[in-house]
Amino acid sequence: MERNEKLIRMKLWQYLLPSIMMTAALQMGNIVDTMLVGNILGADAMSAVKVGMTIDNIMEIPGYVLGVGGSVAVGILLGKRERDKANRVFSMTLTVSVLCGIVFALLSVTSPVLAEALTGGGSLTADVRAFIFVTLLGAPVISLALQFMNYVAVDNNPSVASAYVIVSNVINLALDYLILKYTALGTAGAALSTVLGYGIAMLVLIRYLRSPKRMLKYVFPFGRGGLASGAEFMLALSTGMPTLLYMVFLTTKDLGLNTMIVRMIGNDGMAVYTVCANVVLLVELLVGGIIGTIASIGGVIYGEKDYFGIRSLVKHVLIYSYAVLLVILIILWVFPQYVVALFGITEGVLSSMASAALRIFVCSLPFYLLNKFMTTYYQSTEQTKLSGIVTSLQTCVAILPLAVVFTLAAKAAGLDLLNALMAAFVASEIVTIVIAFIYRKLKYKDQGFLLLPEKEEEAVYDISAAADLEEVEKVPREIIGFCKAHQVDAGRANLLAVAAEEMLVNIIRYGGKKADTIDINLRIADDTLLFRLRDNGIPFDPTDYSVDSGEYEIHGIEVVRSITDRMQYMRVLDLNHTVIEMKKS
Amino acid sequence: MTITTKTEGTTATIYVEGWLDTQSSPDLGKEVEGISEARALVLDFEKLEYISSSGLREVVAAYKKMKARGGTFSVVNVGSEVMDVFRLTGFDKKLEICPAER
Repeated sequence: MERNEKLIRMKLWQYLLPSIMMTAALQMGNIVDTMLVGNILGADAMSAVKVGMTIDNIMEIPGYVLGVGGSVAVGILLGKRERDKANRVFSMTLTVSVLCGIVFALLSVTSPVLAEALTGGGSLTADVRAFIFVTLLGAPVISLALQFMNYVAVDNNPSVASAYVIVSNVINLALDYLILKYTALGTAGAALSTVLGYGIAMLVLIRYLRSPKRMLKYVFPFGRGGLASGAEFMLALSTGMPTLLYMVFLTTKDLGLNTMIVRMIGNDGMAVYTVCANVVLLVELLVGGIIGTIASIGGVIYGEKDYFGIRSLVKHVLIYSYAVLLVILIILWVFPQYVVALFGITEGVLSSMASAALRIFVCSLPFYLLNKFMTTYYQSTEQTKLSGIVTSLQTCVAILPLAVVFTLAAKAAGLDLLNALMAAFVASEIVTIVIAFIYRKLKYKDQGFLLLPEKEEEAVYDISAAADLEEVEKVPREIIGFCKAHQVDAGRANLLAVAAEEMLVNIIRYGGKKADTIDINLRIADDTLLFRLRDNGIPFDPTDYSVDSGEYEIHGIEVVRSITDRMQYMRVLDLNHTVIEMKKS
Repeated sequence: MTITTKTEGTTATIYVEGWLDTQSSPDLGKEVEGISEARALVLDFEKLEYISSSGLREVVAAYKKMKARGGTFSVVNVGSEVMDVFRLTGFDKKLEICPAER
């Protein structure tokens, strides 16, 4: 019998669609938004929104960081049943981020100065000023929205949270169209529809407030016990630290690149760059969800040391995502003029300039995808540092200096600046891959790309079996044979085989119609035998199973409990995971 | 698994060889059904290598059957591996089980 990929592949497909939908909903709003502005207001307005977006990003930092960090912390606290503490974290972060929002709203009076600084006083200034003025004014609404988006999902209402994201994006896009088309608000209208979208969609949250499953309650954080709230606030902040770093890097990159492009290459360069940035969002929309499955399934499989499972998951994720990317690449390469036209760039010279630039830019995408994969994969497999190195290089540290160097070099050599900038994107992705490679080689000399042990340190028996009595009949025999080959005491081997048979028979008899495959894994560690089963039968927790057995009645699970040292159960990925532990002697 | 039965007077001895698992246990049950006359039943497990809970169940069923009939029941020559299973499930105390002599 051999291990096969059936269960893992099945789960990949089950998690793929929701993951893609979530990413798609989030990115779609951004992309269509940009397309609407480009088509209705023109390329300059589109560039202005992209420039002004930096302020939007900065304004979102407190809400985003406290929302993500706070909701993760609250999730952990609720898991520990520390409801009071959870309420304090929730109330404190909500209050602080709304206060930050109010401060940003007051800062809207500085928008002329900010716009001037962002554009260097160029022709985009007026459009940028209008956009950031409304954006800043709407900061309290956006801050509140970011809090709810994160907390509502953690607080047992994930469907309300995603409904909120979707509804606010739909309202935003509809208003975008109406306001841009029928009023003279211009870029201010684009900002206004975003604020109104998130504001009006809050009606959806009534369902959350009324939900019987809601656990969180607002408690005024500055009264008695305010000091305790301070500690909880720090907890939320430290949990949100990786998010904070990512956002700071992203904002720094945007700020740096926008400033450089507007000043050195000009408005047309900014328009082309905006299209490229949205092409990346499009790739993210289509491929990000596939890679996202590693975050949702990979960590669990890695935690179980199922290296075969991880390899199989990675293989499928890479095949699917590169297949999708190939299609995108072909379209972008063959029809770049149609793609830029989607963003309202149809005029002859600008269109052909943008098409040429886009063709260079798309060469960065295969490398981009690999880096995106590395970030997610290393984060899910406890290589946080390596993941952080890739993210920081990719989002900021590599691209910024390279963009400046390439553009300056092109200027000195009399080459096209825009094309040089595009080449810098390709180079930065490659540099990221190379640095990650060097880091890996220095730190983990002999290990491969996935940093999984090539040879198992422990002896492992790893197979998949059909849920069928005749097929699993061989398993106890194979277990005894395997144990014998690895010097395990014959008595222990025999007991383990008995336990294995009971568990397998139980899955086949009571797992229901759905149970058709069982992954079986035995690991001989220093002093324990670890036996793990994974099956797709109906949820069954053998550790929570008890029967009033009469003196002479025999129940398989009870037999297993009496002959083994420890039994653990988890229902993860909609699969039963049962682990049995036994001392080696 | 191989099962052989020898009857001497009112005592029936069933020799079980090999693996008594989910698939093979019902055969032992059928064999026990067959010996309806005996006053004493002995299961000889000298050559039994493995017993699962379904095997245990058949052993207990045989015990109950003999008890209901007012007869005697014992398991003899139980090897150490199979004995472990009886011991850990507590049946070494409830039934008359004699481990194999070493």
